[in-house]
Amino acid sequence: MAVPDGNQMTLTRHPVRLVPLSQALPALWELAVGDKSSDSLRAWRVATRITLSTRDPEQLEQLAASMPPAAHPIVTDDDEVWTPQSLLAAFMSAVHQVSAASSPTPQRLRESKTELARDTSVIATLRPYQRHGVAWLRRVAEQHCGGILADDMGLGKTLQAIALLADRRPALPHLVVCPTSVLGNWARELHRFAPDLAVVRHHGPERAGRAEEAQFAPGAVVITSYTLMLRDIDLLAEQDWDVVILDEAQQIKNHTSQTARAARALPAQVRLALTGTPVENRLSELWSIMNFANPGILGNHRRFTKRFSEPIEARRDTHAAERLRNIVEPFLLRRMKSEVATDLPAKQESIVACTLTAEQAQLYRAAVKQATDTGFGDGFERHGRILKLLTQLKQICNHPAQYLKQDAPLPNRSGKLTRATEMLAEAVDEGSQSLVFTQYRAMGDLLAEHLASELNLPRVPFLHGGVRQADRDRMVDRFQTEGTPIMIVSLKAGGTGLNLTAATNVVHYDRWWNPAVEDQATDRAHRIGQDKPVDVYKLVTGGTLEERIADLLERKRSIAEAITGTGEEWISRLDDTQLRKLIVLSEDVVAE
Amino acid sequence: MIDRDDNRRVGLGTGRFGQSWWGKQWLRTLEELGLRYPDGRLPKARSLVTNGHVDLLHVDSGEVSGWVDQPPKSFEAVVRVREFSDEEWQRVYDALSTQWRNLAELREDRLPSDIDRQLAHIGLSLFPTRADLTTSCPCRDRTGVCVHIIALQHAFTVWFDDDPFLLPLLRGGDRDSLLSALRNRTADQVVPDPTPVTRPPAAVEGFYGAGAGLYELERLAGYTFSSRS
Repeated sequence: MAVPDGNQMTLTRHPVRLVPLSQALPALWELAVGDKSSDSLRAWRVATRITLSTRDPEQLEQLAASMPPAAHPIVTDDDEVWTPQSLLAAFMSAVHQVSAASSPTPQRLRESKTELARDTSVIATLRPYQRHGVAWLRRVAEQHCGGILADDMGLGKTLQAIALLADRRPALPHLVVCPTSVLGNWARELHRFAPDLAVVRHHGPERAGRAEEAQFAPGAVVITSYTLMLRDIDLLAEQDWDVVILDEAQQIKNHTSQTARAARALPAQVRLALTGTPVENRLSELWSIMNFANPGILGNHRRFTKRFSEPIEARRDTHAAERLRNIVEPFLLRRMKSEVATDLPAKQESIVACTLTAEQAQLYRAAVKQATDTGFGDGFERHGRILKLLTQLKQICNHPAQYLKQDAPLPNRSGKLTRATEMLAEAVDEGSQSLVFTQYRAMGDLLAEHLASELNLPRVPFLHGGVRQADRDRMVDRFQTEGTPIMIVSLKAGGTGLNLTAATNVVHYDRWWNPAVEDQATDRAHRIGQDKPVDVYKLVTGGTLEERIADLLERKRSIAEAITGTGEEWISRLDDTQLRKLIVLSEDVVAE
Repeated sequence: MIDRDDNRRVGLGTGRFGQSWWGKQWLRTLEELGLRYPDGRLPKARSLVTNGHVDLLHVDSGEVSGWVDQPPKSFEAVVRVREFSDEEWQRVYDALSTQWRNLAELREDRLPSDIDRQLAHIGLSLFPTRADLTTSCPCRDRTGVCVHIIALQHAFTVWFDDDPFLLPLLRGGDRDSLLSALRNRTADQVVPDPTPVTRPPAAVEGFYGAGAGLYELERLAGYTFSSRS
């Protein structure tokens, strides 16, 4: 900016805060000025009035003539300032665009849903429906508006969003806000699908506290949790973002909540909400999420209630529902698994990274320290010690209560349990059936109890080795014919003729690092005769041995192929250095 | 058609009728119908509404109707408003789209306060005048503005306060066509592409102060305060 300094002009840089014009205009229009208000502000207030009303050329000319230099101080590359006339013309053109916006937008967005995005920069082969999704996301971004991507779980919402980010070359950073439980997964998938994107975790006690420290680089993807978004909203709202993504956006379903208000305050070029369940219970949740993505298109909340919520919820008014669908449809993309089944592979495996809680991290560090302090020894003793440590670490990752042999409390102590509960809740909402495999009897019991109470299910059956054959048969039969939403199965409960093909989701809660054993379990759901695609989710805890072994097995097929038998002994054949690398905790991944 | 499930006992317990400027303005239609203040029918009609005696309120293109209960009798009161022709609506759209603020306000569910002044030069007004209104009620009061009609008009303002688009509806339009017509017309308007013209930065002298023309413009733009002395 060119501003006076003493008695001469100097060029200085000032921090600026950009506000979308659609929000700034009403504010400028209504602005009350007092004796302290600058003439510059008053000039732009008048500019707003003239532009929105008569656009009288004479008045604009008069305004340009009387505008103080302070109202147009921004310098160009050759150290000159725009003339007031040209700046006012640019302002009018921008206001015109904003005023006329959303007339062609819905049509363009609708059309884009049938287009196929070509040449994406992600390292993944996108399925046709995902390429439709990316085409739509690009169109949303091009129109500077917002969208809700509401595909069913397992259809790759994260991947489609990453494909959008990977192709933009913005002058601003991106922001991803997600539940703490999926922070690690975002980092992992970004790294895997778009390794060129810089990833900044805004997370943990070491995070930047002020804008100057933060220095989020253009094009970088900043990942943070809802909790921290709320806590650091002053910092985050000061930054202008390119794309802001809210993952698991049902977190802002309550429009009066602080979280929802904070999310709306994030300045962005493009706003994207990802959720598998845009409406869990009430239509007002859709209003809240849409009010983040596209403020204003559903009118204010009171009116939305009168026009839509009340008629639709109280009387199942189909006209009102149709009108709502028409308004929302361009900005919401939702595909169900059943619609895109032909695009889906028969079996789709994904690794889901979870986040450690502080309690888990502390237990984990202590266990690693104790084991390395003692040393692993050699021979038969070494083998035993390593397997014992592996078991301890796995239990800690599963749940502190399992490791400490407690029954309660369960919520909020294990990142993995939190994530599993979220995923299964979504599956239950979709009406699909899930199998959860664990190798531990104790964990199975904890899961059964926790899931039943959290998801309001009367009972979550647990099929394990101690269940009598007759009861087993009954459980399996109920699962297959009565649609039990979730069943927990012990990995060791024998492969004896279990036929659980009603399941479309398979969750491996903990890992048995032997692909042959896991595949066998998975195949109980995925068998010949299965006519629906099956999603297999392998939960691993980020930054721990779980994630590293998963990577190892994925990257080095040779290792996977060299593993014979059904055990995990291959790990104890690693030398000390390799072993230490495998088990030590990465400190940047712990939840706040 | 407005199909609402809260159409029973509309206005029960209402403290003040006409909370928005358009709600208040609607009550002036009673004067168009010939009511002069004070009139004993007015308090009577208000108490009918606040006691929940207006039932099955119904708003449709060109028409407001409702049953006003005075046990043991019940009267179906109807107020009809002349609908605009298509050609008239086109003129309304043309007139309102010249100023972008109209669209901005309507999008926020507010009726611009000078909307009928803006339409005056095309000879139309959204709020109905005497010639646009007809009423009917089976009661014995033949003045056209009986207690039941007054009660109906008051009950209508309760809904109208919340939804200013009921007025275009009574004129045969609706929210979506009005908003999209204004948007499309705005999009079709040609605004010159701005070309940046630059010059060296101004001198230090007078950097922050505006010329006198600004205060005059503020007045013209409707800001009502005196310029700084």
